[in-house]
Formats: sequence, structure tokens, C-alpha cells
Amino acid sequence: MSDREKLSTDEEMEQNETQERNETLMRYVALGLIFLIAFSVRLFSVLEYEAIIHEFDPWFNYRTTKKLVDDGIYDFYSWFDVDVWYPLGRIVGGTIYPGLMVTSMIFSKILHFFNFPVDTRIICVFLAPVFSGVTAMVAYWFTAEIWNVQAALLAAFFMALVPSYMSRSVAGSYDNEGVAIFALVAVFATFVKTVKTGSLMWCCVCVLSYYYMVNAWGGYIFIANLLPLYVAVMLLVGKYSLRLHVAYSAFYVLGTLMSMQIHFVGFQAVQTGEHMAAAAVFFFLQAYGFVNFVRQHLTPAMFASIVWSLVIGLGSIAGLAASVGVATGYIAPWTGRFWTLLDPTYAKTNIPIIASVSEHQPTTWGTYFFDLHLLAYALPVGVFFCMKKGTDAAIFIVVYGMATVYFSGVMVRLMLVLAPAACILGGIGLSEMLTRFLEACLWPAKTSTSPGDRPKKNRRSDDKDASNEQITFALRWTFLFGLIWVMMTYTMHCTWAGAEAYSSPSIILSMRTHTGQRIIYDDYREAYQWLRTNTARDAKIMSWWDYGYQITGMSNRTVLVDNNTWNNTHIATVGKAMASQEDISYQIMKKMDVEFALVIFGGFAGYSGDDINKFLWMVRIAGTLDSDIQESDYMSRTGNYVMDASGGKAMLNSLMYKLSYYRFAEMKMGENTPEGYDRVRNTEIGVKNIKLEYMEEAFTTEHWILRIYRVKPESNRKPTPVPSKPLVSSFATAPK
Amino acid sequence: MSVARVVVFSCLFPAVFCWINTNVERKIDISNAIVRATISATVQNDGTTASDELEWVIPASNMTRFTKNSMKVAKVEVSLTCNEQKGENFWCKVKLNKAVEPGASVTIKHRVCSGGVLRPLPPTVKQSESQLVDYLDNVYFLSPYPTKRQTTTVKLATPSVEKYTKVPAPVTHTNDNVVFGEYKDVTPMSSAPLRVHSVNNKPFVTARTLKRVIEVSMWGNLAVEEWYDIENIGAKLKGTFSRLDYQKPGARAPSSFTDLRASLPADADDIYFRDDIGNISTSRVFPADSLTKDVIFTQRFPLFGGWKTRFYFGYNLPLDNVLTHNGAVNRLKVPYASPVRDLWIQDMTVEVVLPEGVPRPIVRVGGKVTENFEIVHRSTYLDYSGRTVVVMHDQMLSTPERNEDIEIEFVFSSTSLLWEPMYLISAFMVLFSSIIFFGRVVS
Repeated sequence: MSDREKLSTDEEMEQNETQERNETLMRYVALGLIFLIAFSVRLFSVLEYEAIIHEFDPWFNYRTTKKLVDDGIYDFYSWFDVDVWYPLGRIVGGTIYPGLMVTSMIFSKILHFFNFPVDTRIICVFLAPVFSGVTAMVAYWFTAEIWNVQAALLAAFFMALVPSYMSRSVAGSYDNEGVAIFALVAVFATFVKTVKTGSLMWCCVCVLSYYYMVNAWGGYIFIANLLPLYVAVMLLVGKYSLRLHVAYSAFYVLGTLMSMQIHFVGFQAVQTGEHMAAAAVFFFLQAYGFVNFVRQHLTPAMFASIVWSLVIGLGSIAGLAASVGVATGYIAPWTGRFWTLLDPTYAKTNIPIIASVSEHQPTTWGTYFFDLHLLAYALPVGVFFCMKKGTDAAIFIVVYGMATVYFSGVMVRLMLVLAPAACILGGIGLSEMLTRFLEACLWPAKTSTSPGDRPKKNRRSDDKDASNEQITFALRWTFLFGLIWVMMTYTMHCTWAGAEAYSSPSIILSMRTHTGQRIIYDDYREAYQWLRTNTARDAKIMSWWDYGYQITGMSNRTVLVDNNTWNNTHIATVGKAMASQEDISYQIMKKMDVEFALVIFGGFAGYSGDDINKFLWMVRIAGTLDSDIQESDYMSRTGNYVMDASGGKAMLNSLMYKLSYYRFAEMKMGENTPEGYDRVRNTEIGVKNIKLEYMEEAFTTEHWILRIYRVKPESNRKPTPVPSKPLVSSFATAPK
Repeated sequence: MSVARVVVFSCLFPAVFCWINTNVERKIDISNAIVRATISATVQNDGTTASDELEWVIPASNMTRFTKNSMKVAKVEVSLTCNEQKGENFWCKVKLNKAVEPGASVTIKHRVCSGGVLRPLPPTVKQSESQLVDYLDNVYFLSPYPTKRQTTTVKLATPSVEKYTKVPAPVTHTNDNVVFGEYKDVTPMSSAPLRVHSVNNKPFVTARTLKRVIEVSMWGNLAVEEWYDIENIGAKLKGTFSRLDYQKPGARAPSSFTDLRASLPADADDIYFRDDIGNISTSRVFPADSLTKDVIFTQRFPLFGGWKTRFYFGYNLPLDNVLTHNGAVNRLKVPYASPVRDLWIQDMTVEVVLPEGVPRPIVRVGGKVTENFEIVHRSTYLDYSGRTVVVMHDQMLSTPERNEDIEIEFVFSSTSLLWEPMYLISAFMVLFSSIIFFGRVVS
């Protein structure tokens, strides 16, 4: 090699190195920006409203976090909460996934150690946005493992913005999912890494992530079933490898042991039906490995006979064990939520309480587009490329994607689990397409077949080719710009969704007048603050379970039922109290020591999320307790759910109706409407002269959204009727 | 004749010298929840030698309710010490600033404010009803000395009065004043019940507890945050609260209130108003005059009698206007009590957070040096040893009378300011150098 040549290669290497360095720098800058975007796009709720905990479950999480931060971990684990489910109470420490609270506590401890007195509330509000940024980073790493860094950058960008994930992780949405999606992606990423390398070290990282996931969210069950599914698929397509064997076996054993450390999971991890698939696949994998090992040392005939006897023997033993387990109750049957996943109609017919939750409803097509936008279309493209490549990692993401596409169709809530898969698959699909089109546009010579390869053709056809080329050239550019434009609209859509759709704290209602002025309806907090400051500390508040977490969180008062719907009978009792006539309700409320009953009423403000619109669920759930309560009694003769005079008799006599419309008939809402005009149902109410015998109005908020009634103490014995004359005379004459 | 006897009688009391009240005018303002009374008494030395000491009698039941109790002669404060309780009354000693010659006289102005004196009667009212309050006192000025001439004027909230004491005559009711007297030649320690039962719909607001945190940042900011436990101590709400009746056009709920009005310094900025569960979005700010800014804090719900609420608000002030310094000696001057008007504060804690490393400061309340405070240390942002916090407790105050200044004199050199940026710089330096180290050496 001449000196000159050597010099040029050195230069080239140097150039390559600089280019690589520049690329790395660009990548880190891009990742930093993605993190920033993921964080800041979730702050709309704080800017529009304030740094406040949102909705329902976050209030419980916030309350438990405060308990944990203030009283320490031991008090937290042995916490028996007497303020909820009166008179039953709830063992909070043993019935929650503490991951979220412990995460906040760690943040709080670190900050306080460095003398940053940051309020627990602030940590809770901003935890989810921070974790979203981290999730985007993990998604980057995961996609880089599956595909390449180009696709990974796109996937991270999608992950940062995807509305489906944003819906659960905006600032203030302090929910398990906020940290759990991070853990989920981390488990999958490390598992794929383990399968790729067969390294036990990576498997331990994976198990630790899994441990965090089990700590954080009940959705860990999805991982516990997806990984076996993946292994089964790998075996089916004949891609068994020792790496896979090591990865899954180590994961199952360690992961199960780790998950059993969580109070709430405990022995469920080896006993309940939901975990059985993982165990079955584990044993099957061992058998498969063993059989493979044996096969290498035997003739095919001997091998076949051994296999058959083994299959029959082991199969019958396993079947017997399973049936004995189920019969003795050692293996718990599948829970209702799990059944719902397999049979979407299960809940509707069997468990109204699960069906009544809006996030357990099947997903509509609109939701797919709204929550995934571009990714809904890019996902199949990604699946195509992954199938084409067919590596272990690519098959994993396909299995993950396909499974979640099915589950998300069953329950709206599971859209969240689909989001990472959609981002990664979409990232891969779009990245591949972009790469192809970019190459085709910028270096057409490289990609289109070179002239030398082309078969000889005459001049006319060459002309035609040239015009064809022009068309394809134009098409390529159009397509490229189309892709870029679509990605821009994705950004716009996500920002808009983050700002408008998912940033409402739902306890502060904001409306705009026709002049564009913003009005705040702060009725929830008005009533909760009233309860907090103007009732006895041990007052029991009866409300529908939706508001349980908020009342304990904001009012610090005892509730009968809350969003942790663990006791169907108790909820049905409250439903019955709401659905019955006042005197029957009074008996129930007295038995439950209820001092205040709270209803949400939207007829005045035009707020449609009120109790009357939820009322049929109360009736249905109450119906599971008392067969006298029939849904049909609450309907009009024509079978409609109406509030006017034609409404069902039971409806018009129910406590809910009375409490909602008490003295509402004296209110004239507008010039052209009659008195007592319900603005939600757009109807004039049926019973106007509502008298309450056992309750009295205690407080109603400014826009009538929350109405609180005091349960009157039991009245004195009614005065004995004045005795009639003959009785007196006979009485007078009696002693003699 | 009778006068002579009275003098002899009064001289039997342990006062060394004898005095005569030549003219006493009492003005009692019951138009608010806080009762403010001014007694201006002209006393004449009736003894034979010059004296600078006289007795002043205050009923013990009043004593516990005073939120302010000060005495002045010609606008100069004189000392009033009340240690001796005899029977139902405190016998206080007034120490004049200079002795009064025999036959000469001096006018003493005694100003008292008290909270919780007006008793709602009836104790409960309906939502739409007005609140009536009962005021009890002595028709006469209680004094160990004979009084030659005295009048008492009771100022009402409205001209509407249910009932008032009519004896001893003359008692006249004109517009919103009830005047008792003029009474002549009243014997020492005379007393006769005075009772005025009148309509008073002013907010009967009290702060059961108030915690004020005033934080000095030597970088140029003073942050004030105040936590209130508020209760309406007026007539309790009878029956139920009906939003319908409250909202109807022309509806009345006279005994309730929603607004608290506070006067903040004109350069107060970043005002916030919150409670335990977040922001309360109903407050209005408007400039009152060149020195102050009025803020109306509208509560989440109307407070009827017996209803309570809890909230806090805060604001920032530029330090320049409240802190003066002479070398390393800084003098901070801030109001003592709450900026909320006509507030009866039952229990107050004031915490003044001074910069880190400040030794025990000198504290003056209303110009008088006090030792009635404790020092704690509290660590906040970028602190190492913790900031010096002056904690003061006080009870029974009313505003605006007690909004006198507190002056805190502390030693803090401006070079100490540089510590905190130094912490930050070194922390980042350690971070970056470790990254460089790991980047260059380890990999």
C-alpha cells in the first residue's frame, strides 16, 4: 500500500469517525428533545387549570402516597383504613399495588434529603410526565434492539406523543398506569435483549423490571401471559433455541418468586387461573427441551414410543392435578375481569358492576383513530416488515402487537397497552418506508435498476421509460411529502388531544360562554371543602361509589363505598338506598349510620355526567341484591328512561329522584322553558312538589351540581292519639 | 355635702392620692363584630401633693376579651399595669409620664378593642333573617373616683334597635346612636346594667388560628403566606341552607358572608388564594390608593353562623421597601397581624424566616423590644445549616388595630449571599467532571 493510499484511508476513517460522532450527537440531542416534548406536552392541564390531582383513582393514590410519605412504609403496609367501606373498612396495605406510591416516596425522600421541601402533591402531579419521558427513552432502546436506531428514534417520538398513553399520564393524572407503562416496556425490552443474547444478567434486569411492574399495576398479568404466548408461538414456528429456553425459564422462576413478594399478589401467582398459562408453558418448555435432548441419543422408533407414553402419562397427571386443584379451590377460577377479556359480553350479562365502568366498555373505531391516529395505519406496515424479517425480536413485537390489538378491542382501558406496540411497530413501518422513499428520491440511481442491467430496448420504449420515470419520480416525492405531512398532522393531533381532550381534571369543569369567556364550575371542590370544614370528622357520607375516592381524598370523611369496588353487596346496598322510596332508604341509611347523602345533579348546569344518568346502573346493581328492584319499573310505559310525568313509578318515587329534583321545580331556567326544566334530559320534570320526610337539604353548590342532604335523626315517638271519651270514663272508673 | 363624703370614701381606697373625674366621655362602637371603645377621661388631682399614679378599674370579664388595650395622654403612651384582681374587677395602675400638680388636670384616652363581646340573640336565625346581637355593659364609667360629668355613646350598625336600657334617664336614641347621659356626680364604683339589643349583619368573622410565614430572601424578595381557620361566630343557621332561596332574585341571606377584604401593600405581587384541595378561583384585586391594594377573597361557599372554612393566601413583595440596611445590620419592617380587615384573631403564630446563619436578632413589636419569641432552624432550598426562624405566638388580636410593625434587626453580610450559587456551581462541576472522567478514562 502506497503512502498516498494509506493517507486517504486514514482520512476516510477520520471522516467516518467524525460523521459517526456527529450522528451520535444528533441522536442524543433528538432523544433529549423527545424527552422534553414527552414531558411538556403533558403540562397543558397545569397551565389550563392548576397543579391538581385529577379524576377519581388518582385521589386515592395521592391519599395513600401522603400516608406513606408522612407515616413511613411499615405503617403503610399495616394500614387498616376505617374511613372507607364503612362499617367494613379496608386493609389498604395488603390490597393495593404500592409501586406508584413508593416511587413518589423515593422522589420525595431524595428531594427532602437535599433540603428541597417539595410538596408531595407536586411530586404526584409531575410524576407521570417524567415517567413518560423515560418510557420514550426505553421505547427507543427497545426498538433499537428489534430493528435499528432510525426506527427507534421514530418510535420514541411516537411514544412521547401517542394520545392513548397521554390520556393516562398528563400532569395530575397520578395513576398506576403512568409508571406501569414504563415498566411494561422495560420488561419487554429486557426480555427481548435476553432472548437475543441468552444472558442471565439481562434476565435479572428483566425480572427486576417485572418486579417493579407487579408492584405498580395489576396489568402485570398481561406480561405474565404474553411472554408464555410468545414462547408458545416461537415453539410453534419452530424457532426454539437455548437462548429462548434460558430466558423464559429463568424469567418464570425468578419472576414468579419476585411477584410473590408483593402482599396483594402473594400466592395468587401460583394459584389463580390467570397465572396458569405461564406455568403450563414453563413445564412444556422443559419437556420440549428434555425431549430434544433425548431425541439426539435415540433412534426415531424408540423416541416415538417414549414420547407417546410421556404425553399420555404427563397429560393425564396434569389434567388430574388441574381438576383436583380447581375442585378443592386451590386453583382459583378466573376473575370476572379476565373472563371479560376472553368474552366481551360476559360482564354485561353477569357482572353489572364491571360493565358499569366506562373504561371497561368495548373500544369503538373512532377511539382507535383518536388514540393512535397515524399509528393505526402504520401498525400493519410494521407488522409486515417484522414478519418479513422474522428474527426472534421481530416476532416478539408482532405477537405483542397482535395480542394487544385483540384485547384493546374488548376494553377501552387496554388501548393503553396497545400504545407501546403501536408506536414501535409504527416506528418500524414508517422508518422503513421513509428510508426507501428517501433513498429513491435522493439517490435514484442506487435504487432503481441501473441501465446496464436493463434489457436492450428500442428508442420508443426508452422514451416511454423516461416518462414513466418522471411519473415515478413525482410519485416518490409526493409520497415522501405525504408521509412527512402525515407525521406533522400526527404531532398536531397529539398536541391537540393533550391540550383539549385529556387535560381536564374532571373535578373542575370549564365552559365557554358564547362570547368566548371561560367560566369555571368549581362545584365539586365547593362541596368537598364544605364537607371537610363543616361536618364532624367521623360523619359518614353516602354517595354513589364513583365519588368515594374524592370524598375521602378531598373531604377527609368516611364513605360507604368507593372506587375500589371490592364488595358487590355493599355497593348494591347503596344502590338500593338510592333506588328505593324514602322510607326504605331511611332504614338502610340508619343501619349504615349515614349522616349525609350526596348526589350529583346536572339538570341545572347542563352537566351530563350526573347521577341520574348513571342511575340505571345503580338499579341494575341493586337488583343483584334485591330482586324486587326491577329495571323495568324505572322505565316509562313505553320502555324509555324519562324524567317527565310519564316516567316509571319507581323512578319518580326513588330517593335519587327526590334528592336530585328537591325544590328544583321552583327554579325557572329560561324565558321559554317551564319551571323545573332539566337541561340535561331536556324535559320538564314529572313530580314538582317533592317533599322530604326523613332528610333535609344541608348544602347545594353554586350550580347545583352537588347536593348534600342531612339524614334527620329518628323522630320522637308520635303522640298517642287523644283517647276518646268512653275510654277516659272507663279508665277513671276502673280503679275502685 | 355628698361630694365631700364621696371624696372621703374614695380616699379610703389604697390609692395614695385622690383624684376626681371631671369629665368622662365613652364612645362604644358596636357597629362591627369587634367592639371598639374609647374612654376619654379628664382627671383632676384632688389631693394635696403632686402625683403621677392613679387607679383604673377594668371588669375581669372584659379583660380576657381585649384585643387591644392602650392608654395615651396627649398622644403619648402611658403605662397601664393590671396585676391586682379584687373580686370581679382588676385594679390597674396608671403611671403618668409626669406628675400632676394638685388642682391640675389631665386627659387620659383609654382605647380598648374586644372580640367575642357581642352575643347573638336569638342564638340561631333562619337563612333569610337578620342577626341581632346583645351588648351588655355598665351605664356608668367604672372608677374608684367620683365622676362629675359623664356621657356614653353607643354606636350601632343600623338605626334598627330592638331594645335598649332606658334607665337611668336620660337615654336618647337618635339614628344609629344611643346616648346614655349626661350623668352628673356619679359616686365611685357605681354600676347599673346597660343593654343594647340591635341588628348587626356585619360578618362575625374570627380566625380561630392564623399562621403567618414571612420569608426573607436576600436576593430581593419577601414572601408572605398566611393560613386561616375561619369561622362565622354570629347567630347559627337555623334549619337548612337552601341554595334556591339564596339564589332567587332579591333573595337575602344577611347574616352570611362570602367575602373577606384585605389590604395589601401596593407592590404586592403574585397573589394566590388556595385551600387544602387547591386553588380558589374567586378573588379580585384592585388598587385602593397609592400605598395599598385591596384584595377580595371570595370563599368557596357562603359562611353562615357556625360554619367554618380554611384557606391560605400569599404574595411576594420586593425586599427594597421593607428592608433597610446599614453595613451588615439589616432591619426588616413588616406588619404584625393580618391584612384582613375587621378580623378577630384568637391565636396567631408569626414565623419570620431569616437567611441562613443569622444569629439571634433583635425583635421589636410596635416599637417595643420583645424577648417573647423563639428561634428554630429550618432547612429549605440549598441550605446547609438551616435558616434562622423567629417564631412568635400571640393571642386575642384584632385588625387593623394590631397591624403595628414588627422590626427585626439581624446581622447578615452580603458576601454570605454567594454561598448558594457556590453550592450549585460545585454540584454541577462534580457532575460534569465525573461524566468527563467516565467518558475519557473508563470507556
